Amino acid sequence: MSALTPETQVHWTGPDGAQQGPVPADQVVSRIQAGELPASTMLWWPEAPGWTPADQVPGLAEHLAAAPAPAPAGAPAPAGPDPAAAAPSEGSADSAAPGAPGADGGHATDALMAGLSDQELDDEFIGLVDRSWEMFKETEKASTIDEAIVAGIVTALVDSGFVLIDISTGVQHALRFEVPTTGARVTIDLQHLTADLASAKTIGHRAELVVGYGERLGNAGQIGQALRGEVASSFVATPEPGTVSFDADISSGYVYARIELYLEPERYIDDSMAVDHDLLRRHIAALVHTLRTFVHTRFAS
Amino acid sequence: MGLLNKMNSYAHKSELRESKDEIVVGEIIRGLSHQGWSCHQVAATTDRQQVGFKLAGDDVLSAVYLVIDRRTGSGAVSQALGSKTTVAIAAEARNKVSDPDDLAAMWRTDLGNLFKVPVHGEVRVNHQLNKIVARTHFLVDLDDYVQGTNVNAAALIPWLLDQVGNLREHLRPHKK
Repeated sequence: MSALTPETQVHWTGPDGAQQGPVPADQVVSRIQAGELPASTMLWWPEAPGWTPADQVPGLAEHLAAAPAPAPAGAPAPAGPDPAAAAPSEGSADSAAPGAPGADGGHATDALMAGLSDQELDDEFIGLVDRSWEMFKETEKASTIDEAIVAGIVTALVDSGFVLIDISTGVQHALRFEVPTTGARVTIDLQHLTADLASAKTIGHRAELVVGYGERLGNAGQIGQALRGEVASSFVATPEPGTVSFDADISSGYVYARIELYLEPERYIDDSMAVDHDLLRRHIAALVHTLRTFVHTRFAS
Repeated sequence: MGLLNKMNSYAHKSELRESKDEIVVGEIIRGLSHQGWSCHQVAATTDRQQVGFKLAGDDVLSAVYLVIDRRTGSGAVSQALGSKTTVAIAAEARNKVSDPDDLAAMWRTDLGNLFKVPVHGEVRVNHQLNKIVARTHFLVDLDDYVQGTNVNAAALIPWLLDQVGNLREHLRPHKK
């Protein structure tokens, strides 16, 4: 407990238990020394941990040791279950008014903050908010990194002259692009596999990417029927990564080659969610190049 | 999953002309990504696409959201407006910490919003303590940007940036 100075503004309790003050500490000391108040008069000041008997306050106890015995039989503590609950607010504009302690929100609250300056409290508050933002951004990144990849893929393909003709989102993002002049199409299906922070932190972000490349063929219906028989006879229910398979969209007359891969989104998206457009474009280009070769080779005739 | 069923997941807009709003969304994503904005939201349904971007380093805005809503073409009001597409733009400013003064600012904002409808470029600001959002709507004719297989969206991004700039100035007084 810090020592009082004579000028420190203190509140005190009278013989009837009523709160008094604030007044300079030396006025209360004078009244105790004059025998008007008991040495055990309860005092409170802004830095005090709570209501404290005057004869236990460092710096006062020595002066009061020789004080006359109190006329009243002890001073009651302020009303309320907790003496600290009657403490006034530090720096409160109301603190000089009679009955001010507690007028602005509760003495226990003030006691909670005892020993801490406004600046220290503000700094701690800002620190908590800052740290919360850091954690929030981690969570946000975990839940939105797939959207950043989608945007990167859109940028890579639209930059190259494709136009986006279909987009649907949900657990899986499905996009379809077309070259207006040739009708060539690229399909993208992206599913984020580690959307929760715990998974992302444990194994890193992962996504499943399926890229398709298609071209319109005049006999796509016949080709589609043939492909259905081809796949029906296959034992590969779920293609392994790197396996190229074929499909036909008979309604629009397209045949497609596609490949399924696993992707590490953090190779393309940094912590600030900025996209490495060059790397993403390079990888999409490599996939489209390979799939186009498959389509041309498979359906050349 | 076999590939043959995969194609069923698409809306099968077999013709390019059916995809004007998607084409415009693609151009928006590309154009704004080149501004250094980081896309963090892509939500698309048959008639409505919403994209969100984070603006790292912007002195006022933390995020911008754009909605392309083709549902404008249904309903009595929409019939009166024609079949244009609604483009909604929302800009968001965030203050890390709110303080009691924000309550007074919120009250003033709410009062100012009483008779404000953010259509045809009108800007409405919603103050939610440490998050303040300014939004506006426009009716846009997508034919201005997509004609058949000819896509010409060169003017789209500068126009959007102008609108975002306007919203930024509405939010600047609230940014701490």
